[in-house]
Amino acid sequence: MKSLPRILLTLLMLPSALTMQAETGSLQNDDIVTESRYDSLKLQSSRYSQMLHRYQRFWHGLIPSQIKVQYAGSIGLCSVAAGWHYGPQHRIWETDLFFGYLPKYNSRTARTTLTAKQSYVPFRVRLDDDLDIEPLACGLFLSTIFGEEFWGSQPSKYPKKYYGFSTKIRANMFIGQRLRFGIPSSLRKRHNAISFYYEFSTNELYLISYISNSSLPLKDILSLNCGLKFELF
Amino acid sequence: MKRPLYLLLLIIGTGWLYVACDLIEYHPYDTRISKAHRGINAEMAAKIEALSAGCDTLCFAQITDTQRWFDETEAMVDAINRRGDIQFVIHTGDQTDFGLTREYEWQRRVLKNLKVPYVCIIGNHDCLGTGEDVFHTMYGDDNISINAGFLHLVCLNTNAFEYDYSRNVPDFDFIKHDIASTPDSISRTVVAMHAMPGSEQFNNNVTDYFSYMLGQYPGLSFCICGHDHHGGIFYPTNDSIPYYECSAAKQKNFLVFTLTREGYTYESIEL
Repeated sequence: MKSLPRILLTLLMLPSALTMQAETGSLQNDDIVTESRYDSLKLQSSRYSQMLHRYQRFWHGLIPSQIKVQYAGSIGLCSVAAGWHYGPQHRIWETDLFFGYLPKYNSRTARTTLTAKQSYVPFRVRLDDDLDIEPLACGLFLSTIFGEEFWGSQPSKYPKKYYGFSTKIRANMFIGQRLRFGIPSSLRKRHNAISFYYEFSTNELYLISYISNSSLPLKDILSLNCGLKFELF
Repeated sequence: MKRPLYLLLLIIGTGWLYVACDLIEYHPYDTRISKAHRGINAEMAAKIEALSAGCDTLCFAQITDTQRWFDETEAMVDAINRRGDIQFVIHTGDQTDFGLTREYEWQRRVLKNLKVPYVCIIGNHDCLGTGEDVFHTMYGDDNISINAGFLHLVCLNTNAFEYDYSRNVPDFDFIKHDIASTPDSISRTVVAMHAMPGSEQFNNNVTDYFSYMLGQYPGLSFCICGHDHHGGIFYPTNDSIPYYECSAAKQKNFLVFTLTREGYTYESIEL
């Protein structure tokens, strides 16, 4: 489980590494392709340049377009995310990868978490020139925590269906709101917009407990987070 | 126009967050326990010892396996409160299903409605994730003993399987020292645990030694346990000590034991 990110990364790199090796035979160890060189190469070999163009466009599309910083929310005391916004209108879809830190508190050690989050932000209401409110943001996130006490499914020592759940992976859903401050182009330094958001979330284990017990109030199963989203482009 | 609007939003935002302070959770396994909710077993044990000093008759109830059955546990707590004859309550483990920090808090909230003191033993589900750490913070040590008047009550962690038999579960060192330090005024001993000998959680390689060691306690009367969710009276060891098993909270079942120096009675109540 620990080597999963590395495997994913290798898999992602593999096709590009292969094409690079095949196509740069004639390039003779040029590490950086400058624009002028790129232009001259385009004249030399259109097949090569097409390939290079496609390759660069692919990786360019993977550059995160937003950064998030979050407090609480069941994925650590604080977490940072790199993410992408996309879709029609106001880029209503967002995908983020969070890295969270959880101090030890009363447990043996501090821990880290990884979270994949998919958000849907359908509306944007203009309040002021550079101020928008996004009255609804909702979605799902899958979170995993690192540590040997946690397992994805029960270890093989247990009889079948002894513990029919995962202590490591939590499936969560959330609903929240946002306030978006657009930064006028004259004042822009790093970001073109900053949003403040807050969200209520719950996970599948809390939900099961809530459904089967009328004595549990709804607020017991909710987790509140708040954070900032920095839009880079 | 601009400034008051921003200010208003800021005020609403801060006020909102202040109200929602309760809802902050860093992780379902974050082990954050308020200071007021720590060391419950030690505090309760002192209360039990104080209230039962000099009593000729002792009456206690056992509940167990209350995981994810909060409604049912509430009903049992009410029933125990209504009876009025029960002096203290023993929870023999599995108060949580997933070992989550909030599950411990929710159970504590139900159990604190008991009008009498209670002690909790760790169950196998309570060990999951960081659940064990929460148990130690909230309740205290795995093994404790209480001198309630003429009764010596021993609470043991018997979930050896959860630790791959790599820890002293059951802890014979504790049992040995506990036997040596049992006061002379004790004429009866009751041992409470989550999983009894013979269960897949118990370290069955040491069953004989376990029953031998428990036999060293003055006037060992019986053992109480949970875990199997069914209930009944068993004799899992080669001596004739009965093990009374209480069923899970799902069945709203609790056991009531009334002890005197001469004997004891056993009652199984299903609501």
